[in-house]
Amino acid sequence: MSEDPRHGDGPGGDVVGSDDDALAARIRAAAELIEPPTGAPVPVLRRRAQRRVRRRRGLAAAGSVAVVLAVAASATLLVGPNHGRVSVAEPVAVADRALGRSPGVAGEWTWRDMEALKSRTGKASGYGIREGAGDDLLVYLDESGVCLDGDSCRASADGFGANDLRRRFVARNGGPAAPLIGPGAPFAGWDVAVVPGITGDLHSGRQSGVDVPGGPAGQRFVGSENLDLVLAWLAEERPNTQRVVLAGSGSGGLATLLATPQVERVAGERLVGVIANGGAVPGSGQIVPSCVVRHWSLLWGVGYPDDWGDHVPDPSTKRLADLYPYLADRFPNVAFAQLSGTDDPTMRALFRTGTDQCDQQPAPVTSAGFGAGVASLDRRLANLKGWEFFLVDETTSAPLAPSDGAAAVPGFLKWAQTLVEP
Amino acid sequence: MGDADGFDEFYAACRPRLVRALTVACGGDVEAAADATDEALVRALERWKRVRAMPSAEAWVFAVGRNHLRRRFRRRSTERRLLQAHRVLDAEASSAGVAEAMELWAAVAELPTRDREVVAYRYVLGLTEAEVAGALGVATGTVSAALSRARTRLRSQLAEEVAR
Repeated sequence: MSEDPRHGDGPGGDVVGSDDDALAARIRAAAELIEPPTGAPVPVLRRRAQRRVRRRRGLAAAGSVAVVLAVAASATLLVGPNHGRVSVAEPVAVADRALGRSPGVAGEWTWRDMEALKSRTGKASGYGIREGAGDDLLVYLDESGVCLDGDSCRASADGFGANDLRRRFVARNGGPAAPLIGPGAPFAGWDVAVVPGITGDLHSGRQSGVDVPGGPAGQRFVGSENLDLVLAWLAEERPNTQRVVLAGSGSGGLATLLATPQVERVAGERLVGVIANGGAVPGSGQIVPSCVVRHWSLLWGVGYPDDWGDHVPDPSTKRLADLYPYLADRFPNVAFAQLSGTDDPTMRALFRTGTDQCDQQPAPVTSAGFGAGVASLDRRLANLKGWEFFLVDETTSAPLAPSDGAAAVPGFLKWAQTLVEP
Repeated sequence: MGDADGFDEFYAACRPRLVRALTVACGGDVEAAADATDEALVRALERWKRVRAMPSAEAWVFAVGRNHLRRRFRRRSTERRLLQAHRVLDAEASSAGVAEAMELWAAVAELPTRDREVVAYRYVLGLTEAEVAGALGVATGTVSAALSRARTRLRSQLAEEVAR
């Protein structure tokens, strides 16, 4: 047994009872029986480390790619049944299709076909990559609408390919992500990974063969599994990534908040920032009825994380609006930004959709009600460490609009610069 | 080759403990844990000056190895694999000790991932609760709660085993 004083139960909240002492001792004794396989000798490890350092320096000198992970999907903090465990499917073979450069942007765009990455109707898709100039990555979750009933499913996208990436992002200097990754934008030099929104589940689903009440049958709500696939590929092909930022616009803004734990499981301490350009969740039970979240759970197979109660002010209740304190407490080293208009038609519609499953119809989300909700959220986030809230007095679902850029949101550029600086 | 930078000493002192802790954290695959340990040690070497100056270089290497394992274990069934005695346990140990350890690891493997990690930090690496909290970036109370929860579950499961 170890005599290491760190094993002792001393002051500082480590005092445990005799039963606990016995259990701790049993764990330590059992651990000693684990026989570590012979590892690589130190000289071999040193050579591997030296090779990597040389490679990284060489790439940097050549102006190599900085990876910008821009998750352009709608992700929720809700997680599927595999929450808390990495459940990335094995990557399958991909085929690259070069798409050229955006006008005014140095990086090359590439589309990667992935057979295993499916839309909610089963169409194969993939993801887009823009090479940057360093070892930093923006993951952009593209928005697609949600599929919760007949009307919303008809309006949400269920496919995305190379031509869509070219039309939506390449030809438009980054398209919806332009305020972040376009010429002169904070992440202009970063690598960018675009994850298409094709599952109508805020990139959060883990359930297939779902018949939507009043809507299509046999839907595949596998947004979270798709994101796992993309993250697995990015981890494999970009092991030298230094910093990762997760971002999304519109409903993709909410998606980024929901996907943060999933991305952190892969990026670890390299995840430095999350940018939700829209997708705010006002903290009102009237605006975000719990029945809507229950509907998401039933259709998409998602739920609150197991450790939710460890990180929210009131563990006895589950309110989606508590994702802000949850994320702040769970990921204290990540800088979060929530942007919102005082009137967000996308979010107002989202929180109404699907309420036909509720016993009692909630009140419609009015413009005034939403405005009061985000004003309250503004005050709440002002006192929450790790969060910056940028509220603009406009009717918009994405305050960082391509036409105006980041400069249109006072203070955002300065905040973003703190992420970009070495 | 000398050990001017102190890494050789760190390797000799910490590698076995890191492999054991990661084996516990990942639910039982000692080979994968050893690979993750070596990968994490390489990453530590890449920035050794900075890492060795940390309050707990060992905790940092463990966290890197844990993240590496999370990327590797992409299937729940793999991650939750129970410890295999013939691959994991010291062949020289007594059969009673092995049986007892097997029973314990089977119970540990049933814990949620975060709880297993906290158990590994606290009881295998030997960090204090405050140090575990620092390594995980959470409040000390969160670690205390996770440990308490893990101990309760383990005691319950082990009691059931005895009752069978």
